[in-house]
Order: sequence, then C-alpha cells, then structure tokens
Amino acid sequence: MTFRVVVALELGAEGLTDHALSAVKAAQDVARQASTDVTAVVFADGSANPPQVEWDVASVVTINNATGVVDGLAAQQVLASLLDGQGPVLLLMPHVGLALEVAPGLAAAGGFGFGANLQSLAYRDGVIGTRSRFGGKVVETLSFDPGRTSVLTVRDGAFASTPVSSGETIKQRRIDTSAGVLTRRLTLDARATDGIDITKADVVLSIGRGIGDESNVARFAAIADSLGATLAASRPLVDVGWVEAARQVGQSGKTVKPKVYLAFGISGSIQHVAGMRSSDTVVAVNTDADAPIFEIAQYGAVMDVDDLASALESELAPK
Amino acid sequence: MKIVVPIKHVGQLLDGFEILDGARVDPDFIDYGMSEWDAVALAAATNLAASSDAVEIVAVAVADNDADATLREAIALGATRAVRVDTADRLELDVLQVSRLLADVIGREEADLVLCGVQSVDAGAGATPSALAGFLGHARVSSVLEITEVTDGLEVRRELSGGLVERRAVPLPAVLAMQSGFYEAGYPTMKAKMAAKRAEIEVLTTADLRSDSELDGRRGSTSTGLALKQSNGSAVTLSGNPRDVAVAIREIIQEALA
Repeated sequence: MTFRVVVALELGAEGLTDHALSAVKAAQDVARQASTDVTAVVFADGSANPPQVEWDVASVVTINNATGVVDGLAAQQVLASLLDGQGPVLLLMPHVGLALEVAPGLAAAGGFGFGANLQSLAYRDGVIGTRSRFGGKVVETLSFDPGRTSVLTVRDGAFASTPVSSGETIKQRRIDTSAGVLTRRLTLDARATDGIDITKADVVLSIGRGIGDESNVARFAAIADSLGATLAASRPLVDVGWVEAARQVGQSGKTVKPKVYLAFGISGSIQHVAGMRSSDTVVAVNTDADAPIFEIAQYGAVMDVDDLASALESELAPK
Repeated sequence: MKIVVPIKHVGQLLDGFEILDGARVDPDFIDYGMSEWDAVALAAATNLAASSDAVEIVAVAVADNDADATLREAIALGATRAVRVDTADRLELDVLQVSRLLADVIGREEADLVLCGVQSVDAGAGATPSALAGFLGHARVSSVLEITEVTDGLEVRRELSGGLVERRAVPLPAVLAMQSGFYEAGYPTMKAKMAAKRAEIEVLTTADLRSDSELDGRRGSTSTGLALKQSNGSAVTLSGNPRDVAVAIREIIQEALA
C-alpha cells in the first residue's frame, strides 16, 4: 500500500449533499486504482446526527466539536492531527463550503501537495488530476507526488454521487474535539424570498449577463409570463440588483430541476451549473459558441438574446 | 488597522486564444487587469477606511512589472500604497508558492486584516485566502459579503450554500474571502488616476522574502500540460434565424409539458 485515501466531508443542515457523496465516490475510485482503502471523516456541527452510511470504506470518523461550531482553522487543526504520523495520504474534499477554508490552509501549513477543484482523478504510478481554467475554456493536467501527502478538492458534478456500497452499516468512530475555535456563528438565516419560489416551476427562463442592460429584465419577465415560465437569473444580475436574490440559480442560490430550463445569455459558470444541472431539458442561447453552458445543454443556439427576445415577442403575441 | 489586499493581475481570455508549448496561454490573448473579485475586496477595504481614520490599505501583487498598471489602479481606487514581489525570473509559481510570498509580505507589514477576492478570474480555485491563513495561522472566513468593525474584532455577513446567510464573529488578525454582491467595485476619479501614476511601487524580489530552494519545496503540484477544452457537449444546434429558434423553443416547451 503506497498511500491511504481520506475523504473529509461537512455535514450540513441538509445532510450530506450530492457533491459530498461524489467526493466519496472519487475517493473510492482512486483508492481502487491504487489498491488502497478509504477512510471517511465527517465534520458534524453538533446539532445534526451523523448519518448512518453503508459506503465501501475502511472506516468512518465523525468529528464533533464541543463548541458545536465548525471553524475553518479548527477543522484544519483536527485534520492535521489525524494526518500526523500516517505516512502519505491523499485527502479529498468537495470543493465547497468548509473545504474552501480548510484544504489550502492545511496544505500550506503542512507543506503538503495541493490541487483545487479537480474534475478528474486517476492513479497511474502517481496521482493525476485535471482542472479547468479560464471559465472552462482550458484544461490543465496536474500530477501529485504519491510519496507525500496531498490535499485535493473535487468539483461539483464531476464524479458520480453514488458511493460504492458495502451492504452493511459502517461502524463510526467519534472524536470529540475542542480544537481552538476562532470564529463564532452569531446567526444563520435563509435569504429573504419575497414570496418567490423558483424551485417549483416546470419551465424556468433564466437570464444572465448576456441580456446586457437592466431595462431588458422586464422584457424577459414578460416573455417568461407568455411562455408560462418562471423568471430566474444567474449571480451577476442579482449582484447588481437587477433581479431579486430569491430568483438566483446556483451554488449560493437555489437548485432547480424543471422540465425545461432556458438559459439566455448565461455562460454557465461552475457555480451556476451546480444549481440547474439536473433539469430535464436545457436550452442555451449565447453569443459565445464556446460558453460552457453548451456542454450541458440538450439544445443550443449561438445568437444574441436581444434578437431572440424580439422574435419570441412577435411569436408569442396574440394573433 | 492595517489591511492588505492581494491583487492578481489577470483577465478574461480573448477569442482565438492560443496555448504555447502545451504549457501556458499566450499572454497576448489575455485582457489583463484587476481580477474582478479583488476589486470587490478593495472596495470592502476602502469602506472600512471610510469609517475610521487610522486605516492603511496596502495592495500587494506577486507578478512581473506588467502588474504595475493594475497596482496603480488599486491605488487610484483607494489603496494607500502598493508592493510588488517581482517574479520576472520565476514565471511559473503555483498558488501555494504565490501564497507563501504573499504571506511573507503580510507578515512584514504586520497586517491586521487580509481581504482577498473569493476567487480569481483565471484559476477560479478560491485557494489563496485559506492558503494565506494556513501559512499565517490566522482565522479565515469564506464568501464574505459585508464587514462591520466591532470592539473585539469584526462581524461579517457571509453566504453559505443553498441561499443561507450567516453572521459570524471574527477576531483579528484574519483573512476574509470577499464575495461580490454587497461592496461595489469603485471607479477612480481622474485626479486619483493622475496621483496614482506618480505613486511609487515598492518592489521586492523573491530572494528578499524566501530562498529559491524553500520556494521550490512549496509547490503543491506539477503542471504537466495545458490544452483547449474538448467539447463533450451533445447539444442539438437550433439553427436558422431568431424566429426559427423562437418557434423551436416554444415547441420544446410544449412537448416537455405534454
């Protein structure tokens, strides 16, 4: 056995996300190729019960911080102490939430290898991964020295979210820790919804930077109405205040799974795609033929959404 | 309070870009400037400075001298001064190596607060804030929207996945990753631009901060190749004029709902 594989997950209010489960699957895959096994580490925030899992892994360790709060530095210190004296470890985390505060810092403090947001992973006499750069237009291949510990985060949607099952509940080891917590949660709230719920719609018409001007929002809202669709948007339009936050699709907004998702003027950042990937049918319209949104669309048109809006208006006008 | 804002000199890819030697994007095809989330971090810093007299903002870049224009932009936008760690002889530093050098500068400056963009335009990895906090042993919080100064440090409002918003108490020193949506990147006045043109940028070499051998040992991975993304997409092209596409979209919806 050359190295061990560890996958570290954060147990959120909604349990373990598909992204977290996909990190488990990624860990199982690379461990199988390297003929080694997997240890799963779950950070619980004290309020949630650790899930009972049947994953095909050697062991599950639950980290319960006595303060009931998961803090980035504290989690880094706990993982560092788990890795201490273990020999080389390949540590995987889903590229979201706690991992963004923990993984690079752990690698920096420990002198470990590091790679962020990997979209593929393989073992061939060493660990090789790929990541996308420049909004998905370029792919970079990275190799990691198997002789030293490396900390890698894996991209949402890049790996299947169904860990291989062992058919039996895995006994869990619980570690209670009081590692130094520096930051402290004061409040946790859902963002105001203003009575808007985009998650129930059969058809979502989602607009992005490509619509160009704030005055066009009302135009697409009217088109959405005529199509029987609910208006949604990507993050940039919410950031500038053109569209209500409750309509935001993506990692920091809502996840939608409509029958039809119309993506107008949306390039398809990783964070946006995380919120709409499971839609039944995606129709993308963008002036940039290389936009990543076309990778996950079933139908695509390279076109100015302004021109399309005019055509839709005349097509949908009462005759 | 002294605030360091790390600035990445990078930009969007231009159409028709090329990859040189399978290893790097031809810099002629990058529209260089300040990575957009760094501008948000800078806006957060100037906002803190506006409510307190004793705030110094230091913009720091690890880059060759092309980045001076971007550092001057940072000064025009409110940074008190700028420091550049010159990398003319070390072009291919990875995120941990750059963070190691940034952390050295932050240590030298004895900064109380480090405000980073949540991610960069090119790598999109969001790794620098945590890496800095790891090297410095600081508290860190990701996806911060808003910062308020309180008697024993800071209170921040930050995003969590799924539309949750958290308020968190953060002691100093700390590293915060600034997300867009609250602080708006500013526009420099002509007067500020002119003044920034004359501002002196302090230039350090990597050797001033760290030996080459130590820096080499900090590399997190080895890049073995860069390639154009090969399309895996199987999208059916809706061809024709806008009217044809409009009709097709209407039919797709009707079929899906039938």
